[in-house]
Amino acid sequence: MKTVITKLDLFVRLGLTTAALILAPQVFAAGTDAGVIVSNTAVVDYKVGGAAQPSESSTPVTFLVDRKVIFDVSRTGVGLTPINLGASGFLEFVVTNTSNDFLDFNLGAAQLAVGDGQIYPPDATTVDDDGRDTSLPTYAIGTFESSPGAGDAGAPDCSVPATKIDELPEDISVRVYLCASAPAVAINDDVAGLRLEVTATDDAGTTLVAAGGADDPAAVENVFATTSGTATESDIDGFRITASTLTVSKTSAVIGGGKAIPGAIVEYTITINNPADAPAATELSIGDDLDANVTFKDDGYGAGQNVSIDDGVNPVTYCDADGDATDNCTLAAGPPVSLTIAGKNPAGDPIDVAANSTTLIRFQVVIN
Amino acid sequence: MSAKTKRYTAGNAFFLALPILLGSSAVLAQGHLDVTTTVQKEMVVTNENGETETRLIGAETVVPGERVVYTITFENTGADAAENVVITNPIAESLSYVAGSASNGDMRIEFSADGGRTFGIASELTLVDDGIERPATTGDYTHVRWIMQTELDVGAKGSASFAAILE
Repeated sequence: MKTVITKLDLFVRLGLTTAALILAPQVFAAGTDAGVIVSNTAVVDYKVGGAAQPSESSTPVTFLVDRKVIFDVSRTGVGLTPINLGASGFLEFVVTNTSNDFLDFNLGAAQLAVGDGQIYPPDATTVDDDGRDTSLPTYAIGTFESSPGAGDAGAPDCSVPATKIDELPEDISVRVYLCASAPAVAINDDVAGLRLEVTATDDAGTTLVAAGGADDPAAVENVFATTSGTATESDIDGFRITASTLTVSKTSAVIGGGKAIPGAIVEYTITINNPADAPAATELSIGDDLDANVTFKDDGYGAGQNVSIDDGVNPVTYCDADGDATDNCTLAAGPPVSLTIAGKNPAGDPIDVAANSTTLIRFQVVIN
Repeated sequence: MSAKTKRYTAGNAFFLALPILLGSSAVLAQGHLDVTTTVQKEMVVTNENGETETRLIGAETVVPGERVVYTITFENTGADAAENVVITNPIAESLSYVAGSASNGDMRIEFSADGGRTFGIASELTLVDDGIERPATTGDYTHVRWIMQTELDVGAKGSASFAAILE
């Protein structure tokens, strides 16, 4: 049994809500505010001939405190966030300004690609650890308005897009959310990763530039103390896509309740269940290798009706496995003889199992 | 009237002479010191031998966490030797004195932790904090001062320096 992947369609909306101004601990890591002028004057007292003289003072010497650009971007998650097919979800980050000045930030997001590595090492939660995730399709980055104070932690307002954080004070944090919609079709446990990129800017939105060249003693200049050494910091997080988590069981019973002796007809029932909180599993293909001591019973449910498929809602349908061109259930010669059920009727309609439903597949064999 | 005038004249002459004499005495006792201060920033660099070393550069860009060094130079430009020379430097509120950084040059170094009202050597300096007296830490220092143990001769120069971290 397997689920079938056709394509992934992760539509990502970068939603940012600066949900709640988070009061950081009262440890003012930022230090002396940028723009403060630190002045120093020395005073010398002395005597001449035993007589105290007027104090002599130096001309004040000053320096201007420059802007120490340092801020942190960290996800709050501790593992991949489960997201169902077609559902919406979000990833939460916290941006903390530990500079000695207000900072503006531009926000951006990017989907992780092959080679971006593990999101939660050492777990095998890379976006491409199994090669499946490399087929992630296009996604869209929305544009958003900053909305400080909107909503609470854990309840992002993704309806108001944001592209920047305006005037984030020193030692203050904001929550930033990346909102995403999961694809309609995916493989269970596929990983979709996103990177939040935060860039410090001036009021006009221009990326801050490090001090260099001739000093302007009257201007506050930028000194980057960021981890990256640049104006941009980032962090990554990701979703684990939850497709169907099917449970499969198989039972058998002798038709008529007799003994399981040669010549007796046995009916196998394969029960496939999809839980309530999962998306529908589509295009199922069920394989079953027959024991060498049984023979597949042709037309067990009528002419051209070899396998019964009952989803509990629609009329029972049958697929054919008698070797003609319309077969959807194939019976490959063995040993072992292998039965494959990939369509629920001769027309080839796919076998789907909706959420919170059970499909029963039955076929019969004769004991040799 | 004339007698009075004479006496007045004589008296006037006497009183006129007194300030001149006193003035001459004050001029003789007047000294003059030139005092200048510079500020530089410490920067750790890797030299051509691959070794790290600390250099002093201009305090052009200074951000919290960096160390600055103040150097006070003084010169006796007066006509007489200066005695009991005391150089006092307040430590700005945004700066924190770096322990052991004050140069001594045969001078006694003292600190204040109460805004310059009292001074003492580092090991004996205390501070009353919430009614409890405790040893002052370098972060408590508000002033540093150097007390020369000898006279500063005419034309002689001296210097003192200390380092502080911008908080």
